[in-house]
Amino acid sequence: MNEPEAGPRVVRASWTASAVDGVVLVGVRLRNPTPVVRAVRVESRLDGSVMPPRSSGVPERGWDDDGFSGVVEPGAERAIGFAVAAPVERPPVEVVDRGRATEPAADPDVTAPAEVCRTLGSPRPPRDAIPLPDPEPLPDRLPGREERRGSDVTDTGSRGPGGTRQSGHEAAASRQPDAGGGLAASPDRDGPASLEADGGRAAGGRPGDDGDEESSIDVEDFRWGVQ
Amino acid sequence: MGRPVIVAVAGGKGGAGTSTLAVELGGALGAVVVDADLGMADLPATRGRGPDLHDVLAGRADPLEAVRGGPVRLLPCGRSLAGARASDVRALGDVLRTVAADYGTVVVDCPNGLRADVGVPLAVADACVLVASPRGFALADAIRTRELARELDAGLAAAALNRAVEDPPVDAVGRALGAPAVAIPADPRLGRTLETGVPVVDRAPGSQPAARVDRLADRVRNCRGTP
Repeated sequence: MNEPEAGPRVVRASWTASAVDGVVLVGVRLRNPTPVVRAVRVESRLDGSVMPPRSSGVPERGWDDDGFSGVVEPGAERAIGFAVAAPVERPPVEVVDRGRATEPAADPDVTAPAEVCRTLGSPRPPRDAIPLPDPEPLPDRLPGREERRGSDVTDTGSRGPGGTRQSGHEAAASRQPDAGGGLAASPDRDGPASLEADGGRAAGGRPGDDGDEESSIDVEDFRWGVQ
Repeated sequence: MGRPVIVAVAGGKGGAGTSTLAVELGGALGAVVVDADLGMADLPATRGRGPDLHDVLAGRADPLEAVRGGPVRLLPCGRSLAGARASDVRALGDVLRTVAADYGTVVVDCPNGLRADVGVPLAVADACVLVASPRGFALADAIRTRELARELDAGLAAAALNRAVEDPPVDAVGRALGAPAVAIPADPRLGRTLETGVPVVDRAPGSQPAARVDRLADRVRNCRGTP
């Protein structure tokens, strides 16, 4: 779909919205036909947290919890996109032309923590590097999980968004429960903590981080199920 | 108590003795030492159980409740990769400011490398101390870290030439780095600092290592960024 936004705005906007596994992917194209730089605000109308594009786990400049603020150069187009885990609505965004951008875009503050992360890269270890939790006490707390024992990769991966890409790595790791296990100094604390942490993020702590957070609960379930 | 001061101790290269000198400086300055090595913590966290920096950066604990008492007050870091992955390094700046506001002075034990977990402490630090082995190849890493500190506006207070066996060329190194260099002798007493958690400035206050650490602390006090 591609529906032009009506209204008297000088900056013209068109959008697309597609739903994939409960996540709406929104693309917005902004066109500035005027000879001056114009400031715009693009705000999500969907009922969920905006998952913006990220670098090193940090939202790109201009993004906040509700949308995007930026400028469009004269005679130019600018395309932006984001995702929201919510039912699709039309239109998915509200675009506001804030008039002529009176001040040139300021250079980013290089000492701001977010900017430091963008520049230097996040130190977060990749998900695949995280040791598997101690499996011993978990089955008792999760009745019914045994019936998934032996599930193959394809079945598990198809259960959630992003599962196909992740399940291969996670399944391989699950079959080698000792791989990397020595990296955890105190398994009695690290195991539950790791589950809690990943679950917390997936529940909305940092939506969209790395674009794979929504699948983390399923991945952890799978780990428990096969051990 | 003067205004809050944050001192970053960074080496750039593993094995330079950054953590040891962070604890020593913490003792000499009466500071809280924060172990900011999110992925490979090495300061002793043996003073009872409690929240650590991973918990703080994941939003599960207040920075001040994670500070442990002892000969040198310490905010330890967790040792699990899952905890490191759950940590939001962008929050580290505010954590350091919060602890400094309450305790006066914070010494940050920075990890190796030049990623955001080094950049964020440098960005909020009033002064930094470079730790290097007095060998040519180690100085290259120190110079790279010095460049990052300059970009992030962390005043270089001093360079510590650690584990010096003979009299190293402190003047030449100081000129190369643009800050006074202090030779820290290779002394087995310093080797027990991390193990015991007690700095030589407390264990052997009249010793040569203690005198050199005190000299390093004086450089920090006299740095332009600190009161």
